[in-house]
Amino acid sequence: MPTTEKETETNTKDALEPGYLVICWNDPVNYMDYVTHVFQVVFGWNRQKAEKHMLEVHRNGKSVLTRESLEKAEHYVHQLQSYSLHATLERDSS
Amino acid sequence: MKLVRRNDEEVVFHLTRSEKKALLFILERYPVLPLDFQPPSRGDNPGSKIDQTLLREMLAEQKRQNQEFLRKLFEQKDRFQPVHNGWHFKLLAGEVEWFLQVLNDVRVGEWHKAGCPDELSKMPVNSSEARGHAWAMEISGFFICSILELLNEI
Repeated sequence: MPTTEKETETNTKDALEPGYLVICWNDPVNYMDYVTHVFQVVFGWNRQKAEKHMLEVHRNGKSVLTRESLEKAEHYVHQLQSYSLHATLERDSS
Repeated sequence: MKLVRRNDEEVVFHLTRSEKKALLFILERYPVLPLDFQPPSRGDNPGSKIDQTLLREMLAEQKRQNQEFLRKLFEQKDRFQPVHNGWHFKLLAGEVEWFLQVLNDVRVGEWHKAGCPDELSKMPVNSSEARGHAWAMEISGFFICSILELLNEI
């Protein structure tokens, strides 16, 4: 019984807490202005924040855009992929 | 390509005759980018609940809707109106983002078909097919940049 309780508690915690990272990866084909525009539209960011993440993608090869629940992270990845950006989601192990 | 007018309901662009011809050529290629081009996740993701199939199905449905939207666009005669020295091309306000998605699918898709070169200057042009990929990629890029530039000027 204690084991079951622990599992239930863990599952509830997983379901409630954001735990997935939305990551955008660099590629040579998407224009920088286009990537900035997409970030603004998908996340509702201002241009400054969108440009910061775009430059992070460009310079570091990737940028972690947000940390969300699975459902929200899937939604964002779908949105980004609809614009043909290279976006993935990862379970946040930290 | 120039901006004629933009209001809450619609955006109207002026296209030269050559630009209209090129735009239709690009749109007729859609969709180009394959669904399995990119995995929704990378690595092992131990304990992950990521539904890869669901994400792929959502993308496939999105592309089906885009194709249908594109088909309807071509059927509506008021979308392309002949004017002096070219055409007026009308998009409804809510269609601009959709249109950018379609154009960029072609751009990235043609790059993918060319073998995903690390540098765009290395796009192969050693055959008519390869030159077609490079041309379509450039032209779709021209329309993407033009739309973003014109809409950001306001």
